[in-house]
Amino acid sequence: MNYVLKSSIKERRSSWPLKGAGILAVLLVIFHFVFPRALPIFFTTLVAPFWSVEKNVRGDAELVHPLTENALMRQLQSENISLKEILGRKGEKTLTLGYILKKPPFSAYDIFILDIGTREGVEKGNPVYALGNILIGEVADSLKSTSKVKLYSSFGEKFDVFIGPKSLSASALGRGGGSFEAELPRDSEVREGDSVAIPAISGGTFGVVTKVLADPARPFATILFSQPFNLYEQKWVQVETGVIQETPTATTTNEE
Amino acid sequence: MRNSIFLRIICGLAAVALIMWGYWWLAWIFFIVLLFIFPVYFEILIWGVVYDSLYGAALPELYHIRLMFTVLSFVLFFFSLFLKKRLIAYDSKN
Repeated sequence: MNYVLKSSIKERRSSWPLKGAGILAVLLVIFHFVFPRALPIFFTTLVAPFWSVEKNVRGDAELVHPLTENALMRQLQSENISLKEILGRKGEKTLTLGYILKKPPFSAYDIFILDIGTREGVEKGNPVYALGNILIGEVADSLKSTSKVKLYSSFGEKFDVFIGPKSLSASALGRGGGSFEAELPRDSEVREGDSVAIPAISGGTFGVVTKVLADPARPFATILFSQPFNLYEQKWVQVETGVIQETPTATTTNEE
Repeated sequence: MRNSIFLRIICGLAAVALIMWGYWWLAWIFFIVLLFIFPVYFEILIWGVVYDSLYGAALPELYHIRLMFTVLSFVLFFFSLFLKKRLIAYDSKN
């Protein structure tokens, strides 16, 4: 028996179905580059029914949602809105509940895929909250029945925040998994456990300082803060429709 | 040839299932293995497009490239063709 190097054998001719499929694959790739939104709409429409098996529990989730469950919180919220109206500032949000169809680590992109889209009024840039008032990200792309949420804590996401009891301005950097880091002068009075809040009129928590790394040899301290829940344990989020989030900003308040 | 096409269809269905429900790294390891099982596994280009269509977003961790896995599938496909030409493998059928 003769053994021939595979690389020295002349290529066998592939059959016409394989050739046709190969050409189709190349055309698909070209089409994807030319019309980047057409294929996401097509494939997401095909796949969404397979993802949303648990979608039928939506009604129950709305009933047991902490914000609607807690009467005291509801009362304080309505009082807060009334006071803002008296002072000429509106603070109420129009939130649309969305079920998370896909989340990391299943997808390589650090995104949430929600079961609500343009049909429910979701637009690119809408802020996204977890547990009612904790800002976690913004809508990166919105299709008819689904939308993609870009998380602020994604690795490399950079945005301005105000940190510390004196609301010092800093640039926060996402570290992934709901964690952030920022740098402040070493003498800044930021302590572990300080809550981080959004400076918008609607208020809301953003995160909690978990660690302050101060080296006497360095003039700056590294502030590590994270969101007060496990981002990847969430099943539901709320999208604030009618608002386009440009750049997230946050302030820290000392809880002592 | 018929067996080969049948196997490709089975692998294609498994690939779609992995893209929809599996871990991303598991899906892509599976595609790389298929690149070396089949002589010309062009389907990987389709899986790249499908993956980016479903999950693609411009994120800083992926250099704001929305079509990262389409590009990756191209690179893997052509690299596998290049590599297979240079691998020392013998065919006993001739």
